[in-house]
Amino acid sequence: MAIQLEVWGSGALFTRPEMSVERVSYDVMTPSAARGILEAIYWHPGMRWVVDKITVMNPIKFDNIRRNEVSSVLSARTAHSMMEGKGGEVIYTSDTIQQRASTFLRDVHYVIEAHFDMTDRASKEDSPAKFISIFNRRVAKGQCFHHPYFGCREFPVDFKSWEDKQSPKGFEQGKRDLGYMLYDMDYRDPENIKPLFFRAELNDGVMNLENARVVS
Amino acid sequence: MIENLIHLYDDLDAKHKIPQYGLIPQNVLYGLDIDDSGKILNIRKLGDWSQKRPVHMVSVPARVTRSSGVKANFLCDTPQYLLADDTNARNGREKKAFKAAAELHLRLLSGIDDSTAKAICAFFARSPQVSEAKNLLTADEWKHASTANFVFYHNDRCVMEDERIVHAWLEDFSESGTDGEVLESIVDGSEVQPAAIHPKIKGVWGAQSSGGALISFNKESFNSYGKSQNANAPMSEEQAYKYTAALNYLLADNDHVAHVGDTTIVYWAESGSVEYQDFFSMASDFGGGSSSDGDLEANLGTAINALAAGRVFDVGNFQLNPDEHFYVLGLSPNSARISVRFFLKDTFGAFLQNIVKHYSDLSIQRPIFDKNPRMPLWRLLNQTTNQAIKADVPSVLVGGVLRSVLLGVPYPASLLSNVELRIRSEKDINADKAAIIKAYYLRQPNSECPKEVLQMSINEESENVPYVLGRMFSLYEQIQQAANPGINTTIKDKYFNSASTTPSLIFPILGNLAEKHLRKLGRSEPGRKVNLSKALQRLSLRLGDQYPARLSLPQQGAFQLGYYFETQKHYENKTVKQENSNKQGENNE
Repeated sequence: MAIQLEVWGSGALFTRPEMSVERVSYDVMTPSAARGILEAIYWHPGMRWVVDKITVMNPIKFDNIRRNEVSSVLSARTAHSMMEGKGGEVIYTSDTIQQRASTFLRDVHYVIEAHFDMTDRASKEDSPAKFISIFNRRVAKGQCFHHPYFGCREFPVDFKSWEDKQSPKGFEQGKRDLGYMLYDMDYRDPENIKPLFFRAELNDGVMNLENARVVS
Repeated sequence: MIENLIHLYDDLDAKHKIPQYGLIPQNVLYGLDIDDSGKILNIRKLGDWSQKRPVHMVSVPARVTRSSGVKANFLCDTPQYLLADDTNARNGREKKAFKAAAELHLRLLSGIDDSTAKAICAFFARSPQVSEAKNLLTADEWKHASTANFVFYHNDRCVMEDERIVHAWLEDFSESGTDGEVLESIVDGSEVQPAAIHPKIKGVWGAQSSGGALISFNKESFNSYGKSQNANAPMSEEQAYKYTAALNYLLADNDHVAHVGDTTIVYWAESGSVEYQDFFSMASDFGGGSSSDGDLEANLGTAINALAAGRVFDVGNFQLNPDEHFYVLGLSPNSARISVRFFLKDTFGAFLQNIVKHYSDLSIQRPIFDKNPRMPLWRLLNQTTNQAIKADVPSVLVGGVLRSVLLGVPYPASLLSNVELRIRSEKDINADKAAIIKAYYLRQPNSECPKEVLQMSINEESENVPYVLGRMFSLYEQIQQAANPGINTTIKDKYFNSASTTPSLIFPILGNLAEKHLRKLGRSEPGRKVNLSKALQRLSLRLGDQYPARLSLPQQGAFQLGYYFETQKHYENKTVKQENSNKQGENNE
């Protein structure tokens, strides 16, 4: 069951893992970011989204900003002990402030092509036809579990389904090598979540993921 | 980007321009000559000892980091390790040091069938020869030598020239490494043991002098998925070494590094050829970098045009190819880290094309005394700050402007707003600022600041109301100056800002003033009065029946350009007249 979803926004930041402190974005949306957008609109334990194709509709443009963030994280344990009234650690922004630079994408516009597989957690009543009509209805109404975003919460996604009879056209002609790109995280061992990479390439502005080589 | 840097490293490595992975340049001042049986023959001094601090760089095996423990280096070390010298040692430490060095060398070299390797093995099989070594130097010399690095010589040849020994070291070096988690490398997808800490990057202005980290995860909030340090961005030790070595190589090359604001810019061609860098530094005029190639400088214009048009250009005996892949990387410091401001890759020709476009967008009629028609980038950026107090250029602006220049896209809006701020507080518009306004609206078309006003010099035909108002304002000022020669404060100081924002409030006042100035001028110079009032009439015919109530920002731009050009025209007439009268004087004589 394939779907086509058109997404766009004024900014996007798909952080490269090697440049995640002083954030630098990948040139185009990563497959896992696309999956995140789909899951924000509709997801069910009985289904698993697989992104097939991402069409880049707008030229790739970058911009810079600096943001004030903090350097420490609050652990779940201290949060728990605070819940029980035992007190704990708090983060004072002024003590742990860290200015971090970001290089992000401007005016992004993509069309995501994806399908989903049924998993063994689907119940008897679930069927692909049911999931797809729920998904389509939610897209038409603009419903989502949480607002989908382009890599960072600061960059919300506008979405609608791609109604055009013709398949979407990329912003450029020719081939563009994007280097190694994050495919997704391997969550099979929850204790040790590993990143997976693939060689990304744009052909006429389209990133085809159907045959993406992913080593796991 | 990391991939491109590693590629550059491999190219430089092939040309022997950069230390190999596992080797490091080190100041080595003494050579230890040994014979086949490992006996010390001589101690030779290396380098130029007439200098106060002699320097003799040798590429030697990578150093171990020593704190308090005893750890030996391979092939090159201090006398404490190589000779068990006790000058700087306590508690028999020198014996342990010699033992550690002997173990290391015997382990790596005993299996090699090579006369030099055998000689070194024999050297370590003997008891330490510290007294023999001391006899070869005076006591004072020894004091200096005891903390310096020694390297082995055999048969009058430095051991580092022995390929088999170096090979043995490199093999051992790349194999060593702690057992740990295996992750997929971010660079090429191969399975690697991630390097925990990457070498530092030196030479970025404003960063710590000991170097900053480009890739580092030194705060808890930087980590993802419970990974610590650089396991967040898995890369092998070798890959980490290569990209940092390549970047450090680029940064150390002062001729091809530019500094703009707080951003340090390096650029390189995919082939690693220095000719592209030379040419780029000249063509871009970003500052920094010097060139001695006078011929090329003279032909710069033709060369740029040829390359920008996609033709190959010969420089001396090197061919510049416009299709060569070219990279421009901007780095700036942020805390102890280094952040990437921008990383651009394109063909060499495309970069040049954009640079040519940048300078042509910026070109504008300049005052006669301005001998530099091309405005370098630093001067452009200085127009956004208060030069009286030498304020810093905002770093975000630098990255944005550079990107616009190199990619040929519209300039950042903050460039215009900063320049407008300066115009407002300085109540003046110079050639540089007029050029920026012109270039900004050329790239960001706006119907309120149309193309007809964005020209190299004055457009006398333009009917654009703000533009005509700007020209009129300049005329009013000229009238005032003609009526009251040598006054310090003119209507510009009082009314320039308000006239450009709310003309309907200010222009009636200016009209009244001009009337009075003209009356006064009529008494002293009636001819000039007629000329000026005619010029004023011609302009007011284009205005319609009323002044606009207020002008938008783009309209203010048109006003400012109108004012600038009209003023330039006035000066131009003046100098032409002066030149003419000078000529007449000559003729009369």
